[in-house]
Amino acid sequence: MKINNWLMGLLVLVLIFGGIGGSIAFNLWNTEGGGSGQGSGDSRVPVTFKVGEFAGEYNPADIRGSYSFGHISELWEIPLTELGTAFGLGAIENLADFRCNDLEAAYANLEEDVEIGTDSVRVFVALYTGLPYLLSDTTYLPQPAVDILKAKAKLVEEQIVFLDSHSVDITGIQIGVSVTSPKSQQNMKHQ
Amino acid sequence: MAAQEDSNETGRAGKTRKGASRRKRKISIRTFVQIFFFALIALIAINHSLEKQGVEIAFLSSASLHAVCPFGGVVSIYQYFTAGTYVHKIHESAFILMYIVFALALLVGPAFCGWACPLGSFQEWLGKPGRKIFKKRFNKFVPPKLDSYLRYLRYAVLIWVLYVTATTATLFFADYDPYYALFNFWTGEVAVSALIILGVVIVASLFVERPFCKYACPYGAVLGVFNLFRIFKIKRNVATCIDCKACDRACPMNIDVSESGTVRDHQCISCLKCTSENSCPVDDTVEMMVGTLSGGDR
Ligand code: SF4
Repeated sequence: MKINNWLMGLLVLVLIFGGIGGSIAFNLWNTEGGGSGQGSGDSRVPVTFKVGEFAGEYNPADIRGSYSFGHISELWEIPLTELGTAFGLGAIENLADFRCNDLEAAYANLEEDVEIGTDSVRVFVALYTGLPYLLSDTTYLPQPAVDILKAKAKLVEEQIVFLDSHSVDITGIQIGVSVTSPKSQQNMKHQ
Repeated sequence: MAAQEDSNETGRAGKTRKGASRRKRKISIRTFVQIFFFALIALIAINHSLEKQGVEIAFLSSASLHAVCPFGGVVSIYQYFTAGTYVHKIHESAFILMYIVFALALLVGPAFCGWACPLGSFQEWLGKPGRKIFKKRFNKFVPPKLDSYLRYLRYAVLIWVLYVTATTATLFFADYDPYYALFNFWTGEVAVSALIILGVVIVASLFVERPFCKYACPYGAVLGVFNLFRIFKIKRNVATCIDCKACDRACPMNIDVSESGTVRDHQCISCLKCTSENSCPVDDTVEMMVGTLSGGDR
């Protein structure tokens, strides 16, 4: 059997688009920052560690921008108020609906190269719960989050050094709080 | 014997005319597929930018480029199988595309490179003025000895990309990726390093056909391995070959098809340019096929 130009063109198109179509049919196609776990939005279940002493625990690395603080609080058993205080959001009413995506907008006024966003939440959750997570040099946490971690988490020397050099004093910072509604969330789906 | 040779020549000549008359029309099928994928990715990238401003082209995906790049799946493999998560910005779609392109490569080799990859097509199109300017010298500027070593450079790039991605869990290659730069240069999100590499690729494409594919593409390196065991292979019929080397001249990757029975070179991109349908003047002499050619191949 030979492959000619027509057949090759057809094969490329059919395999690529047939494969995409098939994965959509089986609900496997996802181009969004919605995570590798099952479900969507707040029904999403994050992946768990597969091996080692933390096997079976939810992996904070799978926290996505679409995760709400309420959902995170439930999954990792962190009091919601503690999350709110850590990220300087104690005063807002609907804290449970506040999404990680909203953090970047809330802290949009920080100096260049300093960002508080979804990865900051991952770091906070990982250190708070004692779960492993790779600390990235570009990730910063608000000072109250650092204070809570130092008071309540079991930190090793290296983590304390990281926190000391990656904290942001948020007193006096204008936090532009707005909670993304499920509709506007659609517009923030791609990270 | 002489009479037999005559009749062979007549037969070949007859087949030659037939092959040549078909050529121009059929090459355009690949060009059409290339334009289609290039336009599709460009529109998705534009739509992704528009979406951030609250506008969107209807019925078109506005996914990020990372989500629709099969190489994203490859770089995420380590993290997926150790921690169960994807590298930041990589999603299920990239993994699915990775499996699809692997299936395609298992069948026909790196056809993704030769038919679908927008960066490959872009370099190929830039080579057209280069070919006009430099004529026969085009695509022959790199000394063969140096070229033969440089062809393995992309495996070093691949190992570097996989290692750094696995240890940092970030899509760091975006800062060096000319493909990402090409479809995002207007966003202000592209690292200067990626823009510089894109500039080098653009200039180099005027001298060498597909320079990034040949020397630096880590994804091409992965797919090239499939040429060792792809089901449909490029084969040359040694019995009917007239040794005119038209296949060698047509090959964008400088593969000596005329010296192979079966092309197993890791650089072949399954473009079919060397085949009897496209450049070989004798019918049924260079084909992509499964099984053996009647005259025998090695
Ligand atoms: S011309 Fe033939 S050998 Fe060269 S890359 Fe294309 S299919 Fe492979």
